[in-house]
Amino acid sequence: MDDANEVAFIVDEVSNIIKESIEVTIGSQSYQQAKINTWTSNIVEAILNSLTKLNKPFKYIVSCVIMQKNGAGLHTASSCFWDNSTDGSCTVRDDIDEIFSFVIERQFAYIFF
Amino acid sequence: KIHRDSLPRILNHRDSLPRKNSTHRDSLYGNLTQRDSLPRNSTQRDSLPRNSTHRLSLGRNRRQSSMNSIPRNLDRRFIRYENTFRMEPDDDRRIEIANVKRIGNLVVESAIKDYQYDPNNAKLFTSRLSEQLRYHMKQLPSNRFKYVIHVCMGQKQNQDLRVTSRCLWDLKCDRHVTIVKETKDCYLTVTIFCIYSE
Repeated sequence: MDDANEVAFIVDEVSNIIKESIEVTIGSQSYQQAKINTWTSNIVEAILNSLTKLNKPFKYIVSCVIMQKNGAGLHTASSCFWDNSTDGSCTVRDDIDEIFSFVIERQFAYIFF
Repeated sequence: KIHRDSLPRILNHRDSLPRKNSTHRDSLYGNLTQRDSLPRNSTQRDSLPRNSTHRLSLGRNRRQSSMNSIPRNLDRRFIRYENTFRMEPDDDRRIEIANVKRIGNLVVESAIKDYQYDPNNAKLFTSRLSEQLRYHMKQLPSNRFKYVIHVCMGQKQNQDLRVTSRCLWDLKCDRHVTIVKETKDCYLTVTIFCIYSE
């Protein structure tokens, strides 16, 4: 049987992965409408790839919102029906000059002992 | 000889009395007692002669063989139910995407019908909407599913916005539904993920 620590949801590790992939993809570039499509898909795919490399028995959902800073308001809410002891989520907000990005990552355990 | 024969009987007599008090607790709650009560059990067991402790441990092993198969250091909060050996949802528990989409559309349309974007109220509006949707998803007959409802609402000011999601899950059982609605001054994006868990 796996050790309990291997199956636990570690927030720090996951948030580091997310921050790294945002920095690598967008860096400090300004908002470019043509590239926004590739940016979002690159971020999300990079995060998912590094999460699968962790080799943990989890299903993942990664969601990314990128918005141009225009003075407009944005509100996000998320409600989940899951098992609190095995599942978790991690949210990373990033404020670059003209871009506001927001990544949510959720993990669901799919192995029961 | 007579003296030696009488000795086992005296031991048995002593066995019977303490065993009444401690077997119930030991056998039924042996592994499940909280850590505070352990010292009490151990002192009782120390006072018993060797024959009866051997018999107690045999009984406990037989009755709680399933608990002993799990290693002690495993965190107990991960053990909830026994394995159902069910890898895919049943036919009657399968989730209907058309149903989910219809319910989602109804709820969102009724919520956004005469809504004016109000920065003070918007936070409450989005959280309430996501909780309403979660409540409706829980009413569905399929009860092996976990749900994630993601609501994103913003003000329309000619800005650009992109919402992306990728998932690593089981293609056969897990689904998602996306609903996008716009009013005069605000837009609303709702994504509902349904994940099968055995």
